Amino acid sequence: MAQTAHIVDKMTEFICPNCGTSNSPDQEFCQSCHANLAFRNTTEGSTDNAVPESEENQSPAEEGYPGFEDELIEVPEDNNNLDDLFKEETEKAEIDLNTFADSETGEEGAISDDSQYRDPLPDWLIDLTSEDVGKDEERVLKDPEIDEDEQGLNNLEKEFSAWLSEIENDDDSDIGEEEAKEPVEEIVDEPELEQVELPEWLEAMRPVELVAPPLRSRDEANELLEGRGPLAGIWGVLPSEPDSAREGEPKSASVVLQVSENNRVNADLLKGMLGEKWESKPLASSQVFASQDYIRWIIALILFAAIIWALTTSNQEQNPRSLNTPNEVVSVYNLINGLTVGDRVLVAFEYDPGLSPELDAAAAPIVDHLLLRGVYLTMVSTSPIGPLLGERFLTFTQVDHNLRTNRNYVNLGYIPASTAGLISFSQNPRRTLPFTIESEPAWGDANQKALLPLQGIYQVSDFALVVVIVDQPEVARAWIEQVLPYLQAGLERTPLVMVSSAQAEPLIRPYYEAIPKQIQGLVTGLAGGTSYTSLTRRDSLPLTYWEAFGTGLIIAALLITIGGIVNISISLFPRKINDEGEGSE
Amino acid sequence: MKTPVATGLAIGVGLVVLLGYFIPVGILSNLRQLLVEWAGILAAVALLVGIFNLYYVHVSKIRAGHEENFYSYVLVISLTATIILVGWFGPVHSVSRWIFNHIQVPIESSLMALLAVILVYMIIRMLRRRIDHLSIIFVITAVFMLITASFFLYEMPVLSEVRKWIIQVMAVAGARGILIGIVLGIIATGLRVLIGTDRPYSG
Repeated sequence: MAQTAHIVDKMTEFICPNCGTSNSPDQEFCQSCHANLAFRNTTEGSTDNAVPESEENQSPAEEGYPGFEDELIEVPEDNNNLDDLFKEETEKAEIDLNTFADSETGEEGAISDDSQYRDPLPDWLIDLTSEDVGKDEERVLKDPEIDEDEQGLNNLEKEFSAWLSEIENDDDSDIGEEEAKEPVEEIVDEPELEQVELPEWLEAMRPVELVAPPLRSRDEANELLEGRGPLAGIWGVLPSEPDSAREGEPKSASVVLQVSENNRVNADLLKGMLGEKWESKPLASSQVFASQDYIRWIIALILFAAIIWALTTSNQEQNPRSLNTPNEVVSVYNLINGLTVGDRVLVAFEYDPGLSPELDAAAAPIVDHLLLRGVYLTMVSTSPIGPLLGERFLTFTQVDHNLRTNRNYVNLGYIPASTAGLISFSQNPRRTLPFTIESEPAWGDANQKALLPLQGIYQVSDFALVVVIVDQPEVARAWIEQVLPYLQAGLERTPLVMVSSAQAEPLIRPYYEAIPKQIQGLVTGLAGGTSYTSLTRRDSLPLTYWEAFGTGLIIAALLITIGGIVNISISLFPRKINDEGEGSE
Repeated sequence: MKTPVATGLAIGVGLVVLLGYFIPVGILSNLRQLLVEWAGILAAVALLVGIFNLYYVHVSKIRAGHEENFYSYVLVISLTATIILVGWFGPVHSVSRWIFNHIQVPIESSLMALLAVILVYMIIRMLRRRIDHLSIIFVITAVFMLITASFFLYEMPVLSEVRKWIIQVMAVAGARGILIGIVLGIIATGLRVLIGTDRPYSG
């Protein structure tokens, strides 16, 4: 019977709906979370039912409250007897409830009869009588503060339910941009709140909330209607694949920038500018292109007419024969003058046919001077067309000497591999170029002597002079860097001279200006050839070209000057008009 | 390292050739000379391979039936004719010389002559498109050099000295800087190849 009394006591307990802690009926606030328990009078029946079953069956002793350790119901270990025990206790509880109801109505005898079951109660519970409980309940009902709290709770519940219904309505319908703005406006329009003008930075934060995906309740998300398969039509079926893996068009988040009017004007202006740029513009009038073509034709005609006129009317006898000859040209002249009859000279033709008019004219007096000295020439080239240029050079510029191949000169042809070929030729010319350009053995063998121009030549330093006719600085540098060490390895150092085009002079001249000199002479372009001609005092190709060359330069300078002045005037004239127009505005 | 054999060969050959310069030992010098001769042979073969590749590419374009293959026809026909004629008669025969003297040299020389006209025209156009101190200095210098290089003013005392100063001081100073940069670049490239950092042969 003591157990029955305990259950009765439990029935009179009040379990906090907030934290689930059992509280005595006379407590106004929860002893654990201090929640207000005054509203239990109106919702007493429902409050007890709202408590979860698991929490309802939880014993106070398990909660760790003092005074309940000795009042635990001893549960038998045999689980089969649990049902019987539960039924028995339930029946006893019904009987005790009836008895308790009688005591509530004022039957003191019943209470006195039940007092025998209350011996094990704790001290604080012994002091509690049903009468006190009734008084407390009356006090709670009559207390105005408790009424206000109860009304406040009711209002809170109503607002909460209304808010939930709003969320459900929002979930059912798509949230558009205009709809998304409505709640904000409603909040602003509330009469209780003072209307203030939000700053721009705060307004700019709104799209972050507006574009956020609508919230879905957990129940709706979990209880999806299966649309296909054997489980079609059933709610809450666990998906076989995660939601993220399902096919479907992703929701497009609308991004609406909250911009000011000034920014909008600027954006429209930028849009207009970009739009204009993409528009196709009509082609410039063909008159402009035609005028450019005319100018090109006029320039070409003027230049060619002047050069042709100079070539046809030039008087070589009046050409300068005593130019101020540069030192590098004089050095070449002196070196050639120092050669003796029968010396072997190596001549490299390292230029392209495009520059052959300039370099032929520059090299012609030098080769002429060499042949006048009675030397034998050996021609090589690191360019595939160099040997043919050499043949052409001798054919067109040295006609007076009646040169015979392999007697006065020998053409050894093409040296492959440029730099490596030069090294190989410098180390062993006989193995590198064993044949002439006509495929004849150049160096002879045990039964045959070497060709006359190559007799006595075993290494490159055996040549008396090396002349390189070159139009590219890189090729000139390769000869200086790769061949020069072998030329200076002999007892008598073989000099190296260059005949270069005017465009290569700046990069070759440092080798001549160096101390000691890397190259012992330099003849540059048509001017150098003309200067050399003034030393040899022989009619040669440079004198034919010199007057036409000078006339062409003067005409070109005049054209550039006149055309430049005209173009500068045309360019400045519109600017002046624009400046005046802006000034008048 | 993709091609360890090629890298090892390149480094080994480079070291042998380099040591052959500094250590005048017979075996090193002979080995260096042999390797350099091989390089010349390979370069000559590479030139032939390049010619055949050019021929094959343009023949393929003609066979593919491209619309704009006129120049491929010109190249294939001229190359075939030149190889046949020069191969048959020899490189110094009159026929071969005629092809060279009357086709190749005039064409390339004409292009250079056109280049002179185009340069004059572009300098004039430059003053219309871009007028600043650099362009004006360039044009004045060009005009000055053109005038002083001609025979009319070639011997003028002051102008010829100024011209020589421009060529022999300013131009040479810039050229020396360029040459020093080239040499330093060559040394760096050689060292990179020798230590295997730069492998231009590995494709």
